[in-house]
Amino acid sequence: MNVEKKSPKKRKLLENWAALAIYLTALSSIVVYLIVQLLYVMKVG
Amino acid sequence: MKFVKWSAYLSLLAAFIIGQLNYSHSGEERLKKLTNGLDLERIGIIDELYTIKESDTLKGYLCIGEAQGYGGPLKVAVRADSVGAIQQVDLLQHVETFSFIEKLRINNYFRQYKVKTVLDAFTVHRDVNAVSGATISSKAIADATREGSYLAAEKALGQVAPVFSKQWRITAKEVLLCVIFIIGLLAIFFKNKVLRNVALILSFIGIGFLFNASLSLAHFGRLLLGYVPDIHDHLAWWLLMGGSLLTIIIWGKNVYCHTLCPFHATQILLNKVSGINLKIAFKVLPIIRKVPGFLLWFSLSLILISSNPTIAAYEPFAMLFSLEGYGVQWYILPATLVASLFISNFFCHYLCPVGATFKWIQKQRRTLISLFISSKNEQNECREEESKEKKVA
Repeated sequence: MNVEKKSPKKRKLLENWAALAIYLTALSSIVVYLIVQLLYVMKVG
Repeated sequence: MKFVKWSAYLSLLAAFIIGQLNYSHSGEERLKKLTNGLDLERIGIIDELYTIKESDTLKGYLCIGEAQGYGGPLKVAVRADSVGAIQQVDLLQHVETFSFIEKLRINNYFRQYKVKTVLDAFTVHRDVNAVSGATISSKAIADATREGSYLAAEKALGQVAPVFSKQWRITAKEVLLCVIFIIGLLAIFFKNKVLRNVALILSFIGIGFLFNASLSLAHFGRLLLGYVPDIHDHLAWWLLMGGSLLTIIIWGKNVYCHTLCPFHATQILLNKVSGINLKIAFKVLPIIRKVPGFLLWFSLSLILISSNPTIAAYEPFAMLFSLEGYGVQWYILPATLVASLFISNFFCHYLCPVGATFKWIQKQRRTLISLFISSKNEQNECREEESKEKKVA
């Protein structure tokens, strides 16, 4: 019974974590791009 | 919080000043390389016009022309012989997107100028072939070449250059953009979902796939750097940028993000396809909501310090509709598209610098209006008190 009650909560938690992981993946790609551009600007002067 | 905000503004100002100081010197070294060690002597006081000499024998002239490209101003070096035949045209300085310039070089765009003279008209599609997918850059280089060539013709060779009058460039692109913008405005005004969907579908096809003219951070970068393009040649830029800014400043409504952004339409489509809508936990949302502002500040700092509006525009809009990009950009597009499948309006909500800029403008507008209203209220209260005092007296 306890497991059945907790499962929607667990599912929501899992969804939250999945959404956060997707978000962080996209964010990290942008951050890497901006760092590469920063290094380029520093190199060119 | 106020300290962070003002530090951000001040750092942007510092980046702008550093960028402007560096920009004016960046083209000179390249100019020396272009003449392959021959002597250069500047003969124009204001104009950038040089004689090329080899042990006191005149070999020709080198002149610099300038025009507005896709990212901002670009400078072109035109090398002509002593009778006015063009020997070489090369891009001296530019802030264009790298993929556009690569396209020009791959298609040997510059080679066609070698058969021209300094008195040619350099009209795109007539005298000069534009490279498909880099038309604005092709046209800007032709304009800059014309400016440089006519300068050499008049000031160095003593010839009379033809008069070139600017003409309005109104094509299907400008007409369609105007129609989509009007539909978008009506959709917001009447709060009509059908009109909004029509505007989004048209923008997905027109602004996205047909013309690839989405607003990006590069547009705002251009404005901040003062690289305002000529309205005759870039009417589409003015319509989209000017229209979106004016509706926010005058009306307070963000028409572009809600009804005109083709990437917004793409995200809606992707989310409908998957039917999944994952939510980010409420606890982390306050931090995540600040990320677009931070990314905007970081990108603008890079743009201002390098005086290059296209350098830090990280949005995948242009890439999606042209499938052209370079390096790390190829990670951003799939990452955001996959995220849009599972999270509704993912890029708009959590990462978009264009949306963050419009939100910032809306916020400043609200602050100004509330300041104006409060000062008006204070004035009214003062008047009421004065009138009361007079009555008592």
